[in-house]
Amino acid sequence: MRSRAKSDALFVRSSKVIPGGIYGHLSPSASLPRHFAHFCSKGEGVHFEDVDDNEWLDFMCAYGAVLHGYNHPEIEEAVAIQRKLGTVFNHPHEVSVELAEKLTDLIDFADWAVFAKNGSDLTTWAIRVAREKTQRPIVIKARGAYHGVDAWCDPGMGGRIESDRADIKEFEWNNLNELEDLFKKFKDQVAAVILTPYHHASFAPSVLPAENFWAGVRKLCSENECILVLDDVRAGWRIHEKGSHCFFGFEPDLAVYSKALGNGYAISACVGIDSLKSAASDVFLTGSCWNDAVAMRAALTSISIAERDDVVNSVCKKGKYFCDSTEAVAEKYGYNFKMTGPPSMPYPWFSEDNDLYKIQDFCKIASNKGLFFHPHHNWFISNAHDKNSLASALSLVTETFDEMANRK
Amino acid sequence: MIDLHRLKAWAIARSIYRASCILGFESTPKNSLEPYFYDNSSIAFGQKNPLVFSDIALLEINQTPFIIPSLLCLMRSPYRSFCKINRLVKIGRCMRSSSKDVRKLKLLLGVGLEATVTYMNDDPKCMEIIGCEEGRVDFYLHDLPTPLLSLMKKQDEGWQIRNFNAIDGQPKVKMIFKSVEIGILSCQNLLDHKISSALGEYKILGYAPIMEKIGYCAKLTSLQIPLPV
Repeated sequence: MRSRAKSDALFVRSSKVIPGGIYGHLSPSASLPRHFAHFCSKGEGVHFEDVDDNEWLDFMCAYGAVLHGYNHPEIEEAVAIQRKLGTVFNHPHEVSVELAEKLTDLIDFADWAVFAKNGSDLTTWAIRVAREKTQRPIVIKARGAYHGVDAWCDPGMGGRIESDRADIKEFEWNNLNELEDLFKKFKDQVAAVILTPYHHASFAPSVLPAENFWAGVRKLCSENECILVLDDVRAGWRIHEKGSHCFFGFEPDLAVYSKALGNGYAISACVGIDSLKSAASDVFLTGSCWNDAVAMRAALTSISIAERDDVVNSVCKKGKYFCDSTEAVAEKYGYNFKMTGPPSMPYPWFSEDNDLYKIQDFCKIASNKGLFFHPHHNWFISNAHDKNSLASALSLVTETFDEMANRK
Repeated sequence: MIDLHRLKAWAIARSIYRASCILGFESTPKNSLEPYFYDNSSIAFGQKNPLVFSDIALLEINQTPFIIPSLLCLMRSPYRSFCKINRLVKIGRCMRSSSKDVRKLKLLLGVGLEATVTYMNDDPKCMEIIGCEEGRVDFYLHDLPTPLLSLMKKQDEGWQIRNFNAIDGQPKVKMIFKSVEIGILSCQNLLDHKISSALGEYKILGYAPIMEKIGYCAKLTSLQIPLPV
């Protein structure tokens, strides 16, 4: 077991002044609380250090928020220049227009863009834009899908009242018949369908869209004059450089991005089609620091690097190598283990492990070797992963399976 | 489905029965405290010579040291009624005792879980939270090889507390208390579960989301039915 005295001491301090000590998806209770550190101290490339000076080889990339690696020199340099000029002002900085122009150039269907700080800020705003445009109340989402922290969709249980979800309806991912039934049942009442590009629920293997699923969704939305919102917060810049819809071959009306967009700087964006621009301007949108020029500069630089270095292709190739190799090692040790979902953000899954004991065991053993593998969330490959780091990881993965098999 | 107006009284009655089971009082069926709805406003304990309490009286059980049963049942069978009242008094005494041993932990856990299970089966909000989850949930004390108690739901049946001796195989999720003291504090709702699990005061192994839901239902239930003090 790795040392954790400082981590625990800091957590005790934290728990006195912060509810739960650490909240949200970083809460230790959501992962392996006695195996992962509670607090980080620094990060570089694919490694981070915890407060007890343990070094970790990372496969979570700040839960997807880091695409090019921690503390990326080019992004940090651009950010440093912007920071000298200032961060937040009485008016937006020119960089906001540059970033909107960049996104509308890059994303084929996008005619406009707005910015906020988190995915949730804009998934919630996007469905309000859809309601404004259609003047209808109902929003349809996939069962178990995560779209943020607001009461209409959050995975928690506290602080909600019945009316929060009265107009939210759900269908099973890939089940077009169920979606069609909802459209029939709530004829002329559906404002939006909001979906992630593929189904990446926690505590379950990822599910890719079935053939014709997206074409079917698009058709149903168009026929019913409802807005199709793509929540590309997690997958954006990890499946296709121009938005995940390009990979799966469909066109949404609105799309929301965050995570990889700023390579660790807090920023989210919503882009939309021209016919929603007027509705968008009628739905109030603001935040104290949402015109943060530093985060916008980070996003612009991150997108430029992604384009220049063909980062999506790179993380997909690295991911495929890592996933295939890990599956091969597992097979050698007699485990039926699959990396589900896209290889750049794979969700690990042992067959016949619905109760998650095996994956928890695997991630615990791996954690003792310095690998940061989450048992309940998809992992992420960053462009900082290289031959050496992947080779080190695979060697530790082999040791992990070996230890696991010998414990049987 | 249980009439929602009676759910709280029914959960209390079920908890009393669970306490009676845990303390070993149910080995003599004559004096069983297994509850059933006696009429529209009262609950009886034990099929034979039942001890009957009004729902209103049961709702006061946590606030007062003694609640008064129906006089009719007392007159019909004074001896049996006395035996059952005696058991109720013992249960109350054990619940309020300051002892910190495995028996006390099991008692608090069982009483709390029984009330929670009643709400998970019949309270609309708890039913919505628990959704279609099913399977077995085991509660362990760190150094004991068998669970203190288990919850179980199979397909169309409701959630229920099961005797661990009858259960085989791996549960869907395990909650393991580090010590009796921690377990008792947890049952008394005196721990922040997120903080405690982070510090290793208890472990959750297996399919954690179900435990999260049960924990939240337990919290909602405890807001309705606080433990006696």
